[in-house]
Amino acid sequence: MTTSDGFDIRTHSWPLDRVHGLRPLGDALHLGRTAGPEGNSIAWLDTETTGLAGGTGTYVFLIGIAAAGDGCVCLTQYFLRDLGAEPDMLELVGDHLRRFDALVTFNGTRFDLPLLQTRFLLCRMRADIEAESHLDVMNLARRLWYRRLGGYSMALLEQMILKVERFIDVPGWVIPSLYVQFLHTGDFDVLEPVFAHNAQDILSLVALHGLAGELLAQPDRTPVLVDWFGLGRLLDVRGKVEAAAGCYRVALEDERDPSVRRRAATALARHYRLTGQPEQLLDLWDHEAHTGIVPGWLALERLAMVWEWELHDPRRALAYTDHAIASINGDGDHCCARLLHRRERLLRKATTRSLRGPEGAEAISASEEIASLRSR
Amino acid sequence: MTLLQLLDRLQSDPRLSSRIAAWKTIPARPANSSPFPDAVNRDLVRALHHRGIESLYTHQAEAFSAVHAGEHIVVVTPTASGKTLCYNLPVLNRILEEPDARALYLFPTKALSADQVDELQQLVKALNADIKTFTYDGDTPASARRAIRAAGHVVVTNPDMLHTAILPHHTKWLRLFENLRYVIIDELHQYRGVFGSHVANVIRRLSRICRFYGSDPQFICTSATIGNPKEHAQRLIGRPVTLVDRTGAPAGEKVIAFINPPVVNRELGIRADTLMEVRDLASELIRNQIPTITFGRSRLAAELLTTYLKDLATHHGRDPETVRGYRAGYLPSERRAIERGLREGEIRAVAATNALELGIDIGQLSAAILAGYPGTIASTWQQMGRAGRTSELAAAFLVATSDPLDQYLMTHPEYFFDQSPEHALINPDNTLVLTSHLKCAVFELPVDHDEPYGASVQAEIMRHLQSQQIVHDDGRRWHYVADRFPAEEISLRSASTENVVIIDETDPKPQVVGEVDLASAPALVHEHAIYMHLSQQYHVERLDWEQRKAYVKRVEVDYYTDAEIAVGIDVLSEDAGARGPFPRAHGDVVVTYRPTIFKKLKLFTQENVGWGQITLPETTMHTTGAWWVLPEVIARPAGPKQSPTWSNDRLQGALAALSHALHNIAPLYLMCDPNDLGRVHEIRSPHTGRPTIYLYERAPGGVGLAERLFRFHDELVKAAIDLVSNCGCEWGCPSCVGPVLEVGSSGKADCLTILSSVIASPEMSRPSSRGPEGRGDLLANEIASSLRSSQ
Ligand SMILES: [Zn+2]
Repeated sequence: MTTSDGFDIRTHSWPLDRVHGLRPLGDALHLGRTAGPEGNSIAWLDTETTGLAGGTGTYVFLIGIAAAGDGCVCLTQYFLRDLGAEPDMLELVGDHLRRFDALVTFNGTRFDLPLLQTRFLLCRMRADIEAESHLDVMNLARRLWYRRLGGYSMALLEQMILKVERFIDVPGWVIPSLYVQFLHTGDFDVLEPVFAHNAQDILSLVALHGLAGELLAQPDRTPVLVDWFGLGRLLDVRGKVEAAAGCYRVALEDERDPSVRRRAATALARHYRLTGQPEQLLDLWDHEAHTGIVPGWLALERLAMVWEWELHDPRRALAYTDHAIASINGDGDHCCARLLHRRERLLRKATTRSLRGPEGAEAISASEEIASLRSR
Repeated sequence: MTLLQLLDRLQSDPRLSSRIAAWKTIPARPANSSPFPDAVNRDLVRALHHRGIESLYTHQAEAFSAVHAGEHIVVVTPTASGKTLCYNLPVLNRILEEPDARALYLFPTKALSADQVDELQQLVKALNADIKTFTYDGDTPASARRAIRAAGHVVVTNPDMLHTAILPHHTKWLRLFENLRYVIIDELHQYRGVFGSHVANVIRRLSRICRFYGSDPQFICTSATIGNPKEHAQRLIGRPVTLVDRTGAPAGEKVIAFINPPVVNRELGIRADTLMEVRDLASELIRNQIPTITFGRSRLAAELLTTYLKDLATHHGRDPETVRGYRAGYLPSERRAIERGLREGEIRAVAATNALELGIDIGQLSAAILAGYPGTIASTWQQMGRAGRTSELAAAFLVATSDPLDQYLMTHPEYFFDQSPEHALINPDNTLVLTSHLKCAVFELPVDHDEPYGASVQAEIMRHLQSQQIVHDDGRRWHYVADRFPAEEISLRSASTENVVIIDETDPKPQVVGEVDLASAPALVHEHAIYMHLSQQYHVERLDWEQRKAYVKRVEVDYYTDAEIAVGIDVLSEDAGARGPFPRAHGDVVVTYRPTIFKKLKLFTQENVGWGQITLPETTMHTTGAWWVLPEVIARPAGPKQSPTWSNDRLQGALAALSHALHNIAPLYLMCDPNDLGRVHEIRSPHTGRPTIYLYERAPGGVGLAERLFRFHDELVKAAIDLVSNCGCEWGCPSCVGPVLEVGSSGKADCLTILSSVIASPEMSRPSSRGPEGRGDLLANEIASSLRSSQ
């Protein structure tokens, strides 16, 4: 530990074969790269503060920064012993952070980074912390586990996903008062659990980051429970559309929440449409119409859309539209107008088509073919 | 018929002229123009020409030059005299010269800011320059906030947002604070009493933040006519201020008339109904399409007037849509439409509450009718100022109610015409207010040991905060270390900002039609009330108090409802008491507002056609109060043995007079607004068992006014004697013990007897216990200065 005027610097290192969560730290470092962020050298960052509300009156009194070192993960903790020494400490923290070009945090977007930015400004230092390449693992965690666990706090994720246990720990909300107690009494001992808490948070952050990367790299071999729809969405935005579609399909196997099911089905339908798989589309909505979780009229409406736009068969589309209108009860009232509008258009299309002859006939025969294929 | 002919008829027709209690003519005032000062940017001059402004009024030029010379100013000019140009001109001029410059506009209400932003944006459009103006308030979407922080040249907001959202996050507003050149405080007179004391501290905090970022903005304030604009501005912003109050705007001749409705029942002294009188007065105005505004003292009055005026319009063959209501509780879009309609002349008459008293631009109207005295001389002038044309004749009428105060004015019109408007008083160094804001200040930036903040004793307060572990002293500076967000715990306004939403369930798809503030809800939207909105009647089906929702259905009935609210006071604990000739105490009290019954009154005739019980929880407010028990000699209850005694009526009058006198004098000692205090008197108080008068604080929790009333008792009594005995009235007037109709013919004399008996007693009362040590000198200075300013 280094002690300067008014602040301390503590370092600690963990060997790469130290297992935290499911994998050794070395694997987590490696696996995490799939999840991001962009950059060559990553720092994992977590802070402890005098308050949780944010704003200019919240001090960051402990800043933990971890990085991959020589055969280890090295943690550096900057501790503000004297509030007056904040500018001096932040200067060193700024230097330290400049050695990296990417940050990983848990809830850093909303909490740690704006707060640090504020502290730098208040100490009259310009630091574009918020502009740096940054991955907030909490955003991933929300998608991956919120609906499974009913929350996504670090404590919950440690307990349910990483399966790590904290032996000595203080709850986060107690930390500000411990620091104030230290300022008041000078009793350093009360803060030992806070240092441990911060170190533990960073270990779990590295592990979660690794796990998120692993899920994104190998969605077909997930080692933990996961919200398939959420994983699908994460893969989708990363351009891994096939893997995403796979996740949506798994999600639809047992999803019983109508709105999530509807979103998963819609996402999967989009994939089928973009990849030109009308049969799959018909199967999908047909299945939804029969499963009965998504409103029946909705699935029928989607079937009508497929017939109208993908298969160019207004007559069949019309039949599904009528069917959809007939099955509206209560919840779809506001969509009724939309369906009626569709019906009118289809009626027009159906009549012009039959007048036009060959082209229409051809289209119909194409769809007949699929229809007969499906009836087999 | 023209307005002139109408006024002539009013004076010559004996049936009408007998109602006139006062008639004053204010002569026309010519325009006083001035060329654009040289320092005004040529592009700006061109843009103003484009908007039809060829030269400035003298007060606008004077304001510009003073600001250009680096002074802080307060501009006091009548409604519609082009006061917004007094600040828009220097602000735009500066931004044109210095594109990074920023300005902060503070308005007390949202309605007002929307209006002024509109005007500013029109000017910017004519300028064709890249000047961005943004409104930052509770309605600003989160997505827009970042852009406003970084790029807004002019940020329009209110003191509450500055207090809770901007100052505590000032690092996000770096660009604003680094380049802040002007702070505009519009409607300065609104910031008085406890509210003003809070705002003064928000401005102190703003100044600290500016110092931190190296900026030192100039303040440009505008105010309606008050008794002490310059001094008030100086206290509010803590800087010397130049007063600009000679208006150069022209005004046509204006008649001001007091109208007293005739007595209809001589035995009971009942006068004709004020609203019906207003209706009769408005009839010819509406028939002749003379642009007219009527002011009601309550929403109910405003809505009834809307109904009556619409009816008149129909009766005279005019489109009833040219008559509209205007009051708080209308949706913003509705209000905007009404304001536009008024400006553009599609709306010819409007029935308003004091929501329109503010500087909202509605163009020029020819006639204003006030249904009842608004309570202060200043707001009466403001409402009357709504009528005023640049060249033609205008008229303003005050139609009295049978309230004692109104009747006093009818018999003593000189009380109104000769007296200067009320002073705005604030006390930014009120210990509780100061402590609250020091908490916020230290949250925003550490406070140096020797940093000046306001005038006073911050070290003492900081040590107190330190003992509560809210701040930490590092030897040079205090740092905020508590984990709560202090600004959220401190409300600048005592009135709750919560609303009850009114939902119309007539149609299958329920629709929000408006809202009422929480305090008024029990009286306006209790079950079975007839709620009127845009002169449509709604029957309140149910009021979900927990959810703050009232469900209504459209109806058409021939009655309206009027609720009665009983105000009561209970003492929770006595912090200190004093015996002596005039026993007194202060402590925690709870003030209770209990809706009791509502009456159904027939439209147009006010005939009582039924009533009902209101079953709603009473609303209570914990606050602090001071109370006085009537001296034993006088307060002996009426009985056969003890004499001489006062009858209950006489006692009632004496108590009213005494409470009125103390209420009149107290604001000068407390540097607060009369509205910061409420008064109650009881012939037999459950707490003291004797005739008792109470003054209580209107701000929930109180800010220490009651305790100071208790401590300054001796001075207070002396000043009250002074006030009452030197008042020129015979039987009592609003300035001393209250109007004679309220206190009775013996009220003034009895009040003096009581007060003098207290003073005559050999030992002026001594407190039996004391709170924390008072800061004698400071308070004495404060009082001295407040008395000076009130002369
Ligand atoms: Zn008097």
